[in-house]
Amino acid sequence: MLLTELFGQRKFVITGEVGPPKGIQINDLLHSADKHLRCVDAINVTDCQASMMKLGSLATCKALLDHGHTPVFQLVCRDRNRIALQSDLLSAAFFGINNVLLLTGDHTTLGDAPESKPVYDLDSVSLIQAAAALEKGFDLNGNKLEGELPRFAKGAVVSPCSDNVDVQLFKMLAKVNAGADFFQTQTVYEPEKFIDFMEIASGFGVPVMLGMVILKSANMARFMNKNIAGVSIPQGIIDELDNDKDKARSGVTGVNIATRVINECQEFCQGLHIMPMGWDDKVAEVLTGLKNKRNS
Amino acid sequence: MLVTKLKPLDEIFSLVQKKTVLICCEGCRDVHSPDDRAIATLRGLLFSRTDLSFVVTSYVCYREHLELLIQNNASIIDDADVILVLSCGAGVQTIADFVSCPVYSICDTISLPGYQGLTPSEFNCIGCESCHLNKTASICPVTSCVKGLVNGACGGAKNGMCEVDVSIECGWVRIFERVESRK
Ligand code: SF4
Ligand code: SF4
Repeated sequence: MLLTELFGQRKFVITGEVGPPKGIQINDLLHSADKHLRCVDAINVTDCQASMMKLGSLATCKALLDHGHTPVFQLVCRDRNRIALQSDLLSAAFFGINNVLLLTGDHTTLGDAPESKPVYDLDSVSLIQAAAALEKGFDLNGNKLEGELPRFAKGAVVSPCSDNVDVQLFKMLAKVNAGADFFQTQTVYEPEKFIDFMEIASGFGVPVMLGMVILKSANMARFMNKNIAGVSIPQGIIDELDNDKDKARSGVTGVNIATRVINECQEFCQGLHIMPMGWDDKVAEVLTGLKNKRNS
Repeated sequence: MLVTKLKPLDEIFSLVQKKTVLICCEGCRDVHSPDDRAIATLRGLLFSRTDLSFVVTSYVCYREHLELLIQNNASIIDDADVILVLSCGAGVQTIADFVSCPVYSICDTISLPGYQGLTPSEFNCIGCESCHLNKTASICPVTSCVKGLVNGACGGAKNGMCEVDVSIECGWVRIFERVESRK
């Protein structure tokens, strides 16, 4: 199922996310997805997130597909040149994995192999162009593809609460012009900023899914504020997590914060992307708390 | 050896404004810029479209030298609506850092290895062959973004600093700041 079809049906689309392990043992990941992530429309699989060498996104997507899930194949430009990127897009389509999220990718120096050579032969915008070209039957160099053509729902990312929103909107528009079909945002905790952002972004006419990380502790929130670009968590939310540590640890506070923010933003966006970071079991709780239940 | 190639004439004509200054850098050693005839033709074409002033010089990437050039030509440069530059990307960026009017490159730098003139410029150009400076407020995205991104920022910058090294300003944030300051 292409996510674009769901957006076309005016469905409020909900996706989750899993991160492949460092190794080839993915029984736990699959078990958790089977148990907890049946409630979402599709599951993103990260591609060596934060430049940490992990099991491949494509292999994990295939395993999820075989378990009856709809995967979203995340693909970053950091580790592959345009030959490998386009080839991996074809491989995904070959497996029937048609939902893709196309990213530039964190720099290699941020991960667990900091001396590795970063590629960036393409960036997120030109990777979207490449996927769009493949759909039309050509590679980036204009060479013709043979036979049946691949189809993609081409996703991209944007940070609505970035400290420089103009920089974000500029790049977002470049992605729209390149052919992006939908956007997932960086996690949002300030509904006002998101709503302001959507006032302009909705003009681009491409569905936007609100990003949400379920906060596990005040320390996690402080860490994200300090280290993760495009994330700003207000002090009030940090205090809320700090005030009752047991409640925070059990996930009650994180789920409450998530549902509250989503409820304030829901009418301004077309979908929701939950990044549970291991808390797969909390996803259903967040969805239960939504004011506007899904119209499926 | 430095090799540059004129941008398409249509693109160059789209950049001219009422008072246009054209600075041609005769450059460092072994320059292969478009030949004199092509420049003479271009001058002729520009004269018919704008109030053109023409300055020929060398080593525009060399800050002290450029400062003198700008002082000596202050009357026309202060008055200019736009400055068009025929030099490598480093030269264009050095000029743009000095003046307040828009500065555009009218050529693409194809190759810039080896000896690069009197002094290595504080601005970089790696001769990417399709110069982006005209769209990026004359800050080179290829060399000022750590990932060399040409379509906009990666989203990793925090408080204006690059995700790779917090002591480096994000090139794309700098581009936006310059655009903002020129509004
Ligand atoms: S964009 Fe940068 S590297 Fe490319 S020609 Fe211009 S100054 Fe040189
Ligand atoms: S933070 Fe800015 S300079 Fe650093 S890689 Fe990203 S876009 Fe380039």
